Amino acid sequence: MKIPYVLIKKIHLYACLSTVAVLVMFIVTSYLMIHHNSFDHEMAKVEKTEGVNEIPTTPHEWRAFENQYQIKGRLTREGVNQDGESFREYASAAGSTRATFKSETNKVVFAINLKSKADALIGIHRQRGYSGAWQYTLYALLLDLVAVSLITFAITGVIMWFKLLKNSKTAWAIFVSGFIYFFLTIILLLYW
Amino acid sequence: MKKSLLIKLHLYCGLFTCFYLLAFGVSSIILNHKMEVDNKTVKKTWHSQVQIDPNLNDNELAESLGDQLGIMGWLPPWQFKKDSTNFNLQVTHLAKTSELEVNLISGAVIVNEIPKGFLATLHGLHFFNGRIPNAPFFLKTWIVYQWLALFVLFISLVLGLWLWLKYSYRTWELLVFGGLFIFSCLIMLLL
Repeated sequence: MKIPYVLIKKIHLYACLSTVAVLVMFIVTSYLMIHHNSFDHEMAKVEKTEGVNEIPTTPHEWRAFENQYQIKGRLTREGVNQDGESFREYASAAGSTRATFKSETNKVVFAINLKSKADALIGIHRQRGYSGAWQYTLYALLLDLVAVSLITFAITGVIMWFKLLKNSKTAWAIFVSGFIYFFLTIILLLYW
Repeated sequence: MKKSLLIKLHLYCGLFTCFYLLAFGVSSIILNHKMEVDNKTVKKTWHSQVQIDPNLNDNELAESLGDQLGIMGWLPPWQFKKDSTNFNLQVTHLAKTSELEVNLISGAVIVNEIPKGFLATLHGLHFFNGRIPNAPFFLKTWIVYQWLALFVLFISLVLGLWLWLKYSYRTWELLVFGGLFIFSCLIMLLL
């Protein structure tokens, strides 16, 4: 079956257009990560203590607790520390919160870490997975869309090149050298 | 600049980054769905002999072993297990883990190699910056490729958008994809 050039071009275009925002974020944050030492990574730490009658048990109670104390992020870890106190850790792109329950005094201690602007941006890059509040689920969906789009517009781009400029020596040189470099890297990693 | 020249430039940029994009596409799916892609079985075992300097601390001894055996990889200190006669450690990188069992008295070493597999290696490139102890020079050039690929991807993206806006956009496309752009930005701000 021969796919018309116009259709491939549309797929290439729409795959890219649907993911521009996330792609630009990835390019900017990758730059921040590569040049890690050029940016501020100072973390601000805040601790506050609040009264709490009892530790929530049901998902509904936990949601109410998170809303009441305006805890940002999604649950990443929960358990009991060395002192026998229950704790929960939440993480967002901009920072994290650890809530430790002091059941003897009916208090909860919040240890809040706030990242620098550069780290908060990198934090967006590192979000993944379908868990947490609705915005995290939507973002995970966007990530899947970006992943499929990356694959789609790389493949459709190569197909379009074959249809448009397959006699271009420069294009062949770039494509073949990219292929050799990429797969030689993988082979060296696998067999060195 | 002529349209044909812009298209060629967009194409060259795209061809340069296409393998990088494919790897990142695959890796993003693996990350987002928290898939386990590493092979965990020992595929090869070999023996060797090394010099043991008793004055070295654990980190220095591990580095010395890696250097003497010529094994590429990082040495995670939390994997060190040492007693009076044996020192067990791992040398690991994105494509392979080597488990070392070292006899501190005789200097005899048993190396169990666990290759992680092609998919895990492809996925590992997502986090790779070209810096692995004992790596050949060629792998160190990855940081240059990575930087260039990002730069070229950005140029390719800007050129593609420019060509679309200048020559072929339709109002409904602008509204739908412009809206999706703003929506995506809002979602990212809420994370």
